[in-house]
Amino acid sequence: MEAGDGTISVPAAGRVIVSFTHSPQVSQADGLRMFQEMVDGMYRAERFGPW
Amino acid sequence: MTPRRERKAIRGEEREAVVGLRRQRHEGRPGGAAGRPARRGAGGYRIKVAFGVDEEYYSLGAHVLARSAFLDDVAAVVVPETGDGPNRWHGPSTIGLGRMGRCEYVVEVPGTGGHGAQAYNPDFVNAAVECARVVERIEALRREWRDEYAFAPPGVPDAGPPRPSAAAFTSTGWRRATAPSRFLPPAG
Repeated sequence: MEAGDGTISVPAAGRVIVSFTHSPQVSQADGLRMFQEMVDGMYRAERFGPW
Repeated sequence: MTPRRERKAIRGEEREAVVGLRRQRHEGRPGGAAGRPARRGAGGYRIKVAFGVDEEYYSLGAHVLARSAFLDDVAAVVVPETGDGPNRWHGPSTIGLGRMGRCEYVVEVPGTGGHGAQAYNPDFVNAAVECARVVERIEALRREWRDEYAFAPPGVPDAGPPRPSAAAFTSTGWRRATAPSRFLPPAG
């Protein structure tokens, strides 16, 4: 996880990097869909941005 | 990307080095040169040893290795991995077959930015705080997740000396083969 530029300003951007080991039951595409749905679910009702 | 010999300045001293593919884990395993002299094994196969870098970051060494001519004559690859054994003793001596690999997802988290003196302003969205929320949710997902797949069969007693074993998950279930006892180190 990384966010901000080291200043005391309110960070305008950040990112979370998720390392994912896929298996015969869960492919890369499955993992991507899972995380996408998770994030969408978190922010669907929020008030700002593309979410 | 095939390894080659070069002279390089290392810590201020010009030295001969092999440049190309190598592997170095931060657990402390030694890095080294790829393409060491191969040994003849059973069935006339030779063993080639490759060392790569960057396993726990973007695995760039593995990507370069996969695209290199170094693997042109390779029939099978064994990747040493300490985890995923049937118990904590057998991890380092287990060869898991059918590893699928790893990928990384990047979740971009925007915020509004804003002056630090007004960080309490409810109109501001702090990207660091939002990142923390995402991390917390991912951690909860990890705790809840129960993957049906395992790289080694369970049920091996977690005691006694480790012995070399191989396990493969096939369409008919687990197949295991344990090396004969002559491969075990002498007692005492």
